[in-house]
Amino acid sequence: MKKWQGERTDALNEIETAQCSVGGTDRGRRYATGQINYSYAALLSSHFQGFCRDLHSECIDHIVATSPVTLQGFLRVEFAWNRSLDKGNPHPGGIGSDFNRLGIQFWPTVNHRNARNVRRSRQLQNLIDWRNAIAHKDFDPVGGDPTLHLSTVRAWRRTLGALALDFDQTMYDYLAALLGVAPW
Amino acid sequence: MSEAQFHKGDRVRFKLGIRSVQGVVKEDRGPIGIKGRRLYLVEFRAEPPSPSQVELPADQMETVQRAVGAK
Repeated sequence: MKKWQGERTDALNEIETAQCSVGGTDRGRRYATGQINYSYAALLSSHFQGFCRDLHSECIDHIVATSPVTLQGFLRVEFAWNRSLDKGNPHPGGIGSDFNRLGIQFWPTVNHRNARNVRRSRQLQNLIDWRNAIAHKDFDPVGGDPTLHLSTVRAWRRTLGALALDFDQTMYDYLAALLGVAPW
Repeated sequence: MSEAQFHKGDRVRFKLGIRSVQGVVKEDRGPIGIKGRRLYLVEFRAEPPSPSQVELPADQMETVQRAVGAK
């Protein structure tokens, strides 16, 4: 969580500063800011993936540490085996399947914490759809219009910030109940 | 916050069950473990010989030899 609120936030702030520093009012500016918005969305997806992957690894470390040392190596391998967060975008299905392997019903628990997380998970999927559209230059899956406004990316960022807090707190509560001690 | 004891490219040995396994550090994952301990992503070859990966704390790894040209 510290990393999400620290260096990941710094990186996202830098690209937002770059977006705002593009001068002019002509088509050239619109093209430049459009490209920066694409980069901003892709970077946001990437950093959220990094946050989720780090949180998942941290949870594994806590769970595995309670087992005998001789079991720890392959428990670590098994918990992270074929992990979606190591390979693809941080789409809600992949996040859920990765965390579910730690014994939690991830999305139902996250959504129970805050009903707004149902809508936030849909917004996360919308960001991932846009990220894929940008990467593959195919905007049909997001409605066909390639225009991505800064306000949209900012809204995604607020959404992911809220999800990050609830993911962190959800896993904190789960590990505290599972292990009997506060994990962090 | 713990300092990095291993670097990308380092050859390391660790326990996998009762076996001692060799692998290569692929990534310093940073201080994301218990109480900020540093984890490392290590790639190793089990049987069958397809690469597998594991994230380990430094105290469960030992250096085999520094890879040539590793930074």
